[in-house]
Amino acid sequence: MTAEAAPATPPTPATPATPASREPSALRSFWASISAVGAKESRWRMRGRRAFVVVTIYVTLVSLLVYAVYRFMYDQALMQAQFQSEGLSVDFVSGSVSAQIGQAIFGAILVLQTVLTVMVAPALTSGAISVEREKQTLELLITTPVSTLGLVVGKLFSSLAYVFLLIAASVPLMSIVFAFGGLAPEDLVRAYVLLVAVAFGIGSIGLVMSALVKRTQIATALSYLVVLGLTIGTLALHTYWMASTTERENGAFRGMRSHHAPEAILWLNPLAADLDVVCTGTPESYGFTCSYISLVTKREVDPANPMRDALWPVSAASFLVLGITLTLLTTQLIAPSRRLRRPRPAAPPPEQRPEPAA
Amino acid sequence: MIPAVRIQGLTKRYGTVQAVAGVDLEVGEGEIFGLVGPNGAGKTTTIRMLATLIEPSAGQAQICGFDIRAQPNSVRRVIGYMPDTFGVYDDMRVWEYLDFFAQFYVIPSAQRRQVVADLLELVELTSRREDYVQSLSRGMQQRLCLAHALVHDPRVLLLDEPASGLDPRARAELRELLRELSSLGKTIVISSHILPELEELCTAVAIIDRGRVLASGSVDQIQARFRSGSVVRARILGGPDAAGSAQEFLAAQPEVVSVEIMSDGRLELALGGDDDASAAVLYRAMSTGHRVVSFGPVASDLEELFLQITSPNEESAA
Repeated sequence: MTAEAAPATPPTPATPATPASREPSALRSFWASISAVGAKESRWRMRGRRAFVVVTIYVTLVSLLVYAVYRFMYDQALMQAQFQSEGLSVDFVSGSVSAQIGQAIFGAILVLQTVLTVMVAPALTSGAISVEREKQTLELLITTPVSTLGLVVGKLFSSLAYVFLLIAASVPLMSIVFAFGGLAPEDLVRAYVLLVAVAFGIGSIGLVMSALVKRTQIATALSYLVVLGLTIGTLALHTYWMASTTERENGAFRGMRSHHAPEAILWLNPLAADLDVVCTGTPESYGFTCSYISLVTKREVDPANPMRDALWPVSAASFLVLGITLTLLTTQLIAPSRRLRRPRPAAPPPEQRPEPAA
Repeated sequence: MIPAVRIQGLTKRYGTVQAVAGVDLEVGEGEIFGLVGPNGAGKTTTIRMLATLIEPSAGQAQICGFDIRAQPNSVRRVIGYMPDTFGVYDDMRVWEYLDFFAQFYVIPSAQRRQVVADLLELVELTSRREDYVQSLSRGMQQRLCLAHALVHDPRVLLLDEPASGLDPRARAELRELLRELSSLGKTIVISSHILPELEELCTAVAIIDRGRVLASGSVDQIQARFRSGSVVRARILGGPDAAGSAQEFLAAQPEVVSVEIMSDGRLELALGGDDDASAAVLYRAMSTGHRVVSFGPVASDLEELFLQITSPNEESAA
């Protein structure tokens, strides 16, 4: 700083100071920004009948899924019972079958919700910043003393409000599983914690793309590309890695768990985490879910010590870390020092003109 | 007293292009200061730097004593900024729009309601309170945008081409509004590419071209400094004969370069001197019995002056 540095104390204002010209604390500014952006965005999204219609359609679809899973499981159990009882007419299913139906419904709703979240969240968040840029409203925001973090967090959560709304709307349907038994309330808590973490992490991918790329369409496309990589890409990579590194000893197969594929590849795969949540809820069944998780985590399936929480807590934590990192990165991307470059310089190049003769 | 805006050597480079090349300006408290220059002169870049939207490559600027680089948040609290092009949010009502921006200044909600009501009154949009922003006319949106810049009662207003795209009526209303704001003690920095538009409004102007300040001061000062001569139109009572004899008389005066009778009977004089010269010519004409009823500079004079100042080497560029 030179000797001509700005004076440390503000000068006495010519107009009487309003409360607004006093500097509120950073925290108050942060909350004010979140609530302003949040209220505006949700008002925009929830205004009119659209939200109501979408929720209704969604709940209807989930209900149909629940019914289909129920019919399928019930018919299958009935057929099996008839087969076992050698022609005796059986028109009831036992308690263990009922539990299986509950678990199947649980898994189906969880996977459906995850797929929905992964498909909808990027679309909702990838316009958060770029739309403001395209509409030239971001400048108006940024010349206020808005808290950039508050702005970004408010944008992210209000964009995700739709996803959270749909997730919340599924809770009553999800509770049906308790009527069938076989699942504890903790299993539902696990499912919803994971869903919220996934929504946050995936949503933040859209958000950072929205700040990085000027045009919303490109931001959306890039977000989906990343999400596709995280879901199908990591699964394919992991499976290929497993298949190609499974060890053989003297030509003999040393077992499925002898592969070298790192589990971390799947930490940001929401579907793998789903399978673990389902496995944790149904450890006694040793079904597909638990054997897959056993394969991924290279842990033996041990009847005495059933596999619980082997993958999903790491996965949920990874999504949270991803979400926080990308949110902070977005803050940096629109932060004062490097915010808002004009697409083209505002002036014609003066250097190209010859200097006027002295 | 600290000036409301002080700019020293402010420079903005985009690669090798200098959008703003060392601007020095000072705007006193309560002034209405016009930045005039052709499109691409660096007005917008200068205002955007003052509004803390882009960082200067070199130089510094203070607004109300706050440095735009070191204390951007303090600067944002004392300025109200209106960009040259701005968007409006879909699906937002007029009052919601103002309330939304007021929230960022952490104004309590009860006070916010009052502020919004007062501002709507000021910009005459009270009757459109519940309308959607995008349903407003261009002029109304412009006034709403100006109102949004006032929610925190800023001391300095930075207005980038606020009158662009407005019809003459809306322009006049905007001018009236700016005068009112000025009377409330606000310092206003306003840019335009049309000098006459600012002439009657501004207490001082700076003429900018290719990133440099070519002249600054009051419009009269600039005119006096740059004009080597002026064009004056005069109306003489008494029909074509009187006009003819006046033409003869005026052509003989040493200060007068040429005199022509225009199709409407008025005389157009090219004068070779400053205002003293035209006063002398007028005095002599009157005292020799020519009945002069109007005698004044041509309106387009300012525009010609502007062109003259801003394009001294247009030929060499071509």
